[in-house]
Amino acid sequence: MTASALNTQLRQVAIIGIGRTPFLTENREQSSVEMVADAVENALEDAGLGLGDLDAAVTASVDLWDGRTASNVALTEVVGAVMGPETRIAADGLAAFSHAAMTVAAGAYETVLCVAHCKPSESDHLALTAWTLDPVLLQPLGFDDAIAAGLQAEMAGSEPRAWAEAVVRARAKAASDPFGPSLHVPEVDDVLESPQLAGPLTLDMAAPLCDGAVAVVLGKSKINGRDYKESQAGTRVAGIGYATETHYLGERDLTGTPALRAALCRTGVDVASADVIELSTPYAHQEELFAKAMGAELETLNPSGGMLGGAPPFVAGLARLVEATKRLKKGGLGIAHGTWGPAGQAHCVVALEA
Amino acid sequence: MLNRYKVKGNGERAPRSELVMGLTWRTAAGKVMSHFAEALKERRILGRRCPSCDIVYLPPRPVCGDCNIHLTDFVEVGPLGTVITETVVHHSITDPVSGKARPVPYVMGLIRLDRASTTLNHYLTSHVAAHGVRVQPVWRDQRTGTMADIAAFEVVQ
Amino acid sequence: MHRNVAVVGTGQTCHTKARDDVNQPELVHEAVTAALADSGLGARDVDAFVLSNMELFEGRALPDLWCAEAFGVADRPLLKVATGGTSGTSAVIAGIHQAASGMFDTVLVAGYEKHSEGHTQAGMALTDPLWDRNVASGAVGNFALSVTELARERGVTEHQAALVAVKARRNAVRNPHAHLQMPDLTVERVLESKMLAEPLRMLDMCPQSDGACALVLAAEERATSLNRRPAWVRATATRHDKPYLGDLPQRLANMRTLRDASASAYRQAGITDPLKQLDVAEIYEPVTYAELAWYEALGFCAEGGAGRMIEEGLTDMDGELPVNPSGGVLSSNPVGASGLIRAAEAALQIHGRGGDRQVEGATWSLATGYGVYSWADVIVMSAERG
Repeated sequence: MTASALNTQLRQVAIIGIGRTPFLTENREQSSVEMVADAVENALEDAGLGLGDLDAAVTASVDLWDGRTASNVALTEVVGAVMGPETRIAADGLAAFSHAAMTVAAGAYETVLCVAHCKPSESDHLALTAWTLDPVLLQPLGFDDAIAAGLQAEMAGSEPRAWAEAVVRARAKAASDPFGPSLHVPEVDDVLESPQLAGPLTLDMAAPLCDGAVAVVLGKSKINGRDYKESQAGTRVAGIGYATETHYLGERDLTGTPALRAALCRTGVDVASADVIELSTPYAHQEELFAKAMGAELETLNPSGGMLGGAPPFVAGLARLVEATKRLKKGGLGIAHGTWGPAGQAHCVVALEA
Repeated sequence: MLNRYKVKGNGERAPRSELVMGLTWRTAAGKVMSHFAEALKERRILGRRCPSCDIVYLPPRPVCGDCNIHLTDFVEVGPLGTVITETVVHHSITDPVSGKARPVPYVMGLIRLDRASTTLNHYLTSHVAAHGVRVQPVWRDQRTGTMADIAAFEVVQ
Repeated sequence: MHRNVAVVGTGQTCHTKARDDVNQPELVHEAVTAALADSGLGARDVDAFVLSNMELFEGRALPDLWCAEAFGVADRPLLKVATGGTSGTSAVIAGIHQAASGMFDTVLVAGYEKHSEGHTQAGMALTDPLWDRNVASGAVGNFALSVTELARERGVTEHQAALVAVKARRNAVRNPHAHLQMPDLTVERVLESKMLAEPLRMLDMCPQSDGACALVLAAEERATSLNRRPAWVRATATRHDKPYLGDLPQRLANMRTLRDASASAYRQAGITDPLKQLDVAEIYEPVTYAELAWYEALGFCAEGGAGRMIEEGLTDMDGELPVNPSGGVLSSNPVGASGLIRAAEAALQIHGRGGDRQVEGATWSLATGYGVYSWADVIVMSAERG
């Protein structure tokens, strides 16, 4: 196994443009397709490119969340994939980004669009998560993502007050995001006294689900004669890593988060040198848990507010990448993280260099 | 690891766990299809034209995928159209809207409405033997803004 | 691409109507175990995994999470690909790119479907809720419309289509993994089979199968150390097209996606005369008529020449270019795996591991994927590294 930091091909991959839609508790006006079209248009504008300049698209979405078989069929036109290649990864957008980076590193494509979308308002998203679980041993017991998280929180053995504080911190930071869901900033006690969700987790400790889409254009850092390292984005991929744990909650090390450690290890990045770290935390207890696994200081985490400020599931990891990219100064090192599955069964980490 | 499901014994059919999926999605129509839906209620069918290649898309959509440009102009199409191809379906499937088995046989076709470039898939009231036959929509009295507002297409007399 | 990648081993289950004896991870595990054995590897030797499956047919989401243990190792890179019928080929191409990038030296790609555990028809009916969901007649109805158009445009006859069915199910007899094996199938029996949607009959259609398939990709020296005759990937191409059935005029006759993808792949691989230069082709034919349309789209013959190709036996096992020695999708169709099976079959032909269905001395092979209305994947492999 080669730590990807040593991968010279990967280090040629640059982020050329970033774009997103606002994250709304409910986006009644736009269909998924229109949301994706907006995010893509923003990213292309940022990159100074048009739809026709793309060699390929790597999209992230899940049929069940979209309520449609092969749901990515609806996106072909708005991601510039008519008579072109599109691959759909059914995982968090950051995993799709990692794959997109590999296609560029491989020399298969030069300019690739990566876009993730989710509209949890169109369904009972939490109920849908039950359908990811073993249908004989876990699903019939009434498990879903929240209950799995509750179990993990119970085992984490910390004070819920610390988690409530994490929520308040996140909402405060996210309040200044003009594209955020504009949620109110609660008091610590409000969070603690909100209805019980699962185990020691209360409802307010779950990341607020939003509708939204995020798009990133990546490519070789030299395209058409332009050296993207000099351009306004031009942040390069310094390393990628992703990993999936075994499925059964009783067999997993729920507090040791081995998949996160494995993913981080594969990026080859030195966390202590990171200037910006954006972690995905679908539930508040995971901020402490994941930070510990990464060896990161809580105080420096998530300047954007992270997922606890409100984000679309399965887009959140890619949103973290966008937030990290925006905040990196020349010469800086950033880390973006995404997670999916019950109690974070799978993780993805991307290291960036500006 | 993988032995948790093994049922020892006489090779009988392994036990099954039945889970019934009853899920609802409230899909947002979005700007383009909302406009299309409103027009359907008025018995008007709207497509969208690409200013670059002149293709008129039905259903209307945000982007022309051949030209990679965003579309803005709605164009009224039909209501008359021409049958491009058809089939008689004998194999019943579960209708996704009613949840019941669809009665067979029924006739389906791809119809190009006047002024549209693409074809639309819909029921035909009778088996037309030759393509090129002209048809018109049979509108329902109660319309909700979906393609089901058209019950089927019938031959123009 | 940055590095050369080859298929070094393959494995699949015996595809069948219902595998009541295994659950989904166990089904995948069977194919994974077979592919690892064929490659001479243990699970720990594999750097990354890709899974392909159309989980909504089984009413699931993120099946890679449940099936994670099927790969025999935990905490490894695993990504799930889902692109309709092209899922299998899409996953293989994704694996190829991952290995070519330098990130991983070996990648195992697995795909499966367990139609018996779900409600495929319900899944197929979940088309655009704002457009054609109320008329959606599933694969059969949609193909019938396109086939009527094709027959009119190219003059293909039901007799010629029946010859495709006969070739497929008779070839399948020599493939121990195939679902439908019909040694005595005749044109008459095909033409007498139940009419599903005119002109498509039961025996013109592919089955729904429970099954899994896996293959192992390796880069450069890793590949040569694992297989004396690796199937080097010489070209890949993917093309998608507009979203609605009505957007694609003369869908089967044109199939511009497959035309363009194969033209691109042939260019990459230096193929100018596919009929002569290819030794074997495993193409994704969802219905008999589609195979005829694909002969033209793939440049095996001129427009209008497909009917004569099948009548003259040019694509039979002893013909100029054997097409689908495995029996094709017409004989085995676990949707999430069907594209993977094409790639695995095209590769094992080069490995010389085709058993009774081996095309003697196969050196250049073609695998294609088909999905949704007109998505196309093309993979060209060769014993020559290039």
